[in-house]
Amino acid sequence: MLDGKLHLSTPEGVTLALTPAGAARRGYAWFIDLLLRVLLNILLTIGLVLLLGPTMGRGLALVGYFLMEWAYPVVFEVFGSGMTPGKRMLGLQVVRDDGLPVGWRESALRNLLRGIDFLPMLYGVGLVIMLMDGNFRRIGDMVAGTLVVYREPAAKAVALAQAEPLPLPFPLTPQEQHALLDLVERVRSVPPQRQQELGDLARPLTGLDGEASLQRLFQYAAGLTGEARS
Amino acid sequence: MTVQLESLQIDIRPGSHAAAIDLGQSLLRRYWQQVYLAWWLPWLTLAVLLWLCLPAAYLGWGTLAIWWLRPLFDRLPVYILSREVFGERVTAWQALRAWPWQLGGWLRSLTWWRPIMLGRGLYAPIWMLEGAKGRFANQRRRALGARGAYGAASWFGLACVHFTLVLELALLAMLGLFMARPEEANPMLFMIKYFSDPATLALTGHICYVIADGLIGPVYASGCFTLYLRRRAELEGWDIELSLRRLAERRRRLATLGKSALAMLLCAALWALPQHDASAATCAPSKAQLELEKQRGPAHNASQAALRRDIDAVFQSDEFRQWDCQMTWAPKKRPEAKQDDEENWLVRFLTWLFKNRKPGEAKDEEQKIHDFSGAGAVKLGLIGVLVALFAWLLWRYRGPLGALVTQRRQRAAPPQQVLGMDIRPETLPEDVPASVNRLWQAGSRREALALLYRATVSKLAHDHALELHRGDTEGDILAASQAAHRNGALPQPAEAACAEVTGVWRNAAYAARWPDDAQLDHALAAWRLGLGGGGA
Repeated sequence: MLDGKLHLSTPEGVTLALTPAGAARRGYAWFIDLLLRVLLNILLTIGLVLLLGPTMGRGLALVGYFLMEWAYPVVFEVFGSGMTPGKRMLGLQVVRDDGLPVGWRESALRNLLRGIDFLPMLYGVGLVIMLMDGNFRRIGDMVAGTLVVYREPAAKAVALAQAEPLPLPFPLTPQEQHALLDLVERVRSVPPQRQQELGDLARPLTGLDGEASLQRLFQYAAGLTGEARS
Repeated sequence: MTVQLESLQIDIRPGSHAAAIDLGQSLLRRYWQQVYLAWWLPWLTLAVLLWLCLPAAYLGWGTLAIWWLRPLFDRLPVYILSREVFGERVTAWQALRAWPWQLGGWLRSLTWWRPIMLGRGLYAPIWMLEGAKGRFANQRRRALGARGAYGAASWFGLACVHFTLVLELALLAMLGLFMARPEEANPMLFMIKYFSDPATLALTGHICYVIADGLIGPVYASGCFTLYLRRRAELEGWDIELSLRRLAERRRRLATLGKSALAMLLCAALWALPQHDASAATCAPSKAQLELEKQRGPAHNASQAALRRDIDAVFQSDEFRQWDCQMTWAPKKRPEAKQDDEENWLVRFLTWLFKNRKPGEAKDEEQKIHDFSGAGAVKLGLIGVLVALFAWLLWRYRGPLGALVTQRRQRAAPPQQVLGMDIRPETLPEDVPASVNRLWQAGSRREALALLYRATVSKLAHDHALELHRGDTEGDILAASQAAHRNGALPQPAEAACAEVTGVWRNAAYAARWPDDAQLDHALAAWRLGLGGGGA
């Protein structure tokens, strides 16, 4: 089953799913960072030239350009929990391939190797490698052992429909209980005709058809969560 | 398209649009061979035809034309992936044969805005797979493109356009890098050099575009296709349906399990009833027996026929019967050999390599020579490469490997002092017994015995590699030497010498019971024998 995720098991027996982000999304993030860096460079140059005169100002601005190119990603990744401003805007995050946050070593390594990925021009090598790798890593990521993943948005609790709680007709496995709750949360978002069909499909569980079957499912779900009180 | 959700190969639980698009890349990675083959056959043909037909100055228009036709090529990955994703195997050739029918709305898809529509990949399956047309198709588009899905597809299309551009420029830059002199290394050199020569620039541009878009095109199509699938699954609650179906299936299995449990109880009750003896079951005689009977000629006369009947009857009896009837249980359905293995190129290659001769085939000289010339040569070559690789690996890592071998022999250096005595070998006199005798004769008996004991400990630690520690006592050293002797690490004379010298030294040093000359001579003789050999 392809789900585009990387499943990691912790020693505690918890499975974490990381979703590596593809080349397109990372490209947008890089572009936003590029724009931001250019803007900062312009502001820096103007400020330094006005403050220190043209010669000294431009000299110092060159140092600023260097730092903006090489230190900007490392500093933001280390102090911004793996997110440069562009990555933060697009919901991306750099983590180590075991799911831990990146440190100086990883961040410096993956950003220094941009030099290789940039070859021969505009990330040509990096793009090809990213398309070939299963986890969308460029060479810098492979060497540093890092991944760029989607930051999972915090799950929003959906208010369930009010219903009289009922016990389940037969015991369900934890996965099936999750599936039932998922169904109850989402079934109202599909077209009405389809809702009827889904209700019919739930017949082995409820013994009813259509809308009545869905209502019964809501009751079971209320019995599972214990939230809805009549 | 009939939807068979059970055989779906990808996870269609709702998630972000970006993750859905990335899933397309994973899908493409799994079926890249078919997809790229199907794409590249017509793609390359068209590109070469355009290059051949158009005059050099107009090749740029050819590149534009092939870009214009790209929506038609998008159909091939969608055709393959939409079937593979439901577990149906499609070869590149099948996809190409179905292609003319997939072009369906080709006139429509070549309307001028279509190639510019960045999110077109999301809508392509609507009529390709659902066959929706007219107003209904519009409705479907609105429904599928809602909640930012069309925006996501468009952004992805924009990214893919840039990826194509990046790859084109990268290819040109690589040419430039190789053309540049080593000291200047200029990726832009190619474009600078041939800027004034439009024909060369157009040809290289054409080649680079064909390569770049041939790589990125399937990526775009597959990304949009998985976005379409996820979006549709979200709209129609496919994952809900799947989990409900699984639940029903488990429920049904539970019910049949209950029934079969009941049946088993019944069987157990029936167990007590008399059973047929399995070995007594009647069955046809074995093939060998029938062969034997066939070889007999016809009976000469009635008495021979009667005799044969008698013999057969005897052989049919339990005592002489040569075959045995047994009833056994066998699974009704044997698990079929995995089809995938046969499809795998590696398996096919290995089969060709090692099983090219069928077992029953004659192996005459000619055949052997033929074998040798084909697979045999490859086999020999592969074996040669393996041997060379192994030798090279051994040579390459001789350092670490040598360290591994010698590591066992290396151990901590013996301490410089034991019992407060300096046991470094260089502090000992050349001839220890002679020095001891000299000191003994000169009347410094304590120094003589101390030297003897110090020399003993030093020899044990350095020549016999006895593991001693700074804080060991005479007893510890003696015990260590005895243990080493038991392990076979210390020869018997050395151990005896150690024991004797230790006894003499202890008596003298702690009890002031000095040995007489004969005792000392004996100890020195033992020392000479066991430890004086100048090292083991």
